[in-house]
Amino acid sequence: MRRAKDDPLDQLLEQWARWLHDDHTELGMGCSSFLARWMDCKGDMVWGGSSVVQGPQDSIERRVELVVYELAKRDQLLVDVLRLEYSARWQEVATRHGLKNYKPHGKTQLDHALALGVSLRTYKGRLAKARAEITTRLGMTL
Amino acid sequence: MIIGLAGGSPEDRQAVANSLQAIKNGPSLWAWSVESPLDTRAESLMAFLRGRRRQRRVRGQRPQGLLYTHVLLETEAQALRDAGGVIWHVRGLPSRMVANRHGDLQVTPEEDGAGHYLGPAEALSELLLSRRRGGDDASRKG
Repeated sequence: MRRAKDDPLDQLLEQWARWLHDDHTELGMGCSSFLARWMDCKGDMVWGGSSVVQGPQDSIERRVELVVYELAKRDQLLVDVLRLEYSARWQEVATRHGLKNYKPHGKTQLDHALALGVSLRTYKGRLAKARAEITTRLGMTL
Repeated sequence: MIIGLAGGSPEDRQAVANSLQAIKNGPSLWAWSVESPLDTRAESLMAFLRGRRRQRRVRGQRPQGLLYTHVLLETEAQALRDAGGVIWHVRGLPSRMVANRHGDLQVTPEEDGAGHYLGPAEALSELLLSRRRGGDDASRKG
């Protein structure tokens, strides 16, 4: 499955990846701490109750991240594939899989699949499933 | 790494070979096949596999694998298997001469595959994973 520049879901997921990256750099906090807080409260984080959250409280990127977090509870590989595909907080994936010096930039889906230890067909299947889940859960019309 | 392509049409076998050679970040594969008549093909191939001509260079580099594009006979397939190679069967008319054995992959020139037929990169990922698993097993035993 190839990425298309004019595909709205691809655009959204790339936006989400940028948001995660900016979140890390602009708010001056580690993404891991954000995630840790999120996990600590088992996904029931009160968005407006802390200084951690800034900007729009219900941005589309944040909603994507919530969906991704929920998906990870059921199928971690699904989310690992998504994060590598869009370079979205991929460091966690690299750490979890013991990938030293792995950077997704410039890599292909085949590279990502082998890094995760799965076949390319499995990788593409999980990616398609993740995209479909996000589309459904966000109520997107594509 | 030795991959032999059997079945299908010569054009489809060549298309699969071309796709495999074009995979970004993929292994450099030398596509070749003996051009001898049927009665001497296997012998020519075995002489090649025994000889030093496998050292041929691709784009100035030593290839990481041989892509034997036209496996027409079972004896050719056996010679490749004996040398540690694998046989992939190309979608289309099955070869009447080359047996489709357990573990052989079914491939198609289409990038994303079709049904149980794998696309070239998908098949390559299966091969690389199995080689990695084989290496892991060997290192555990060693």
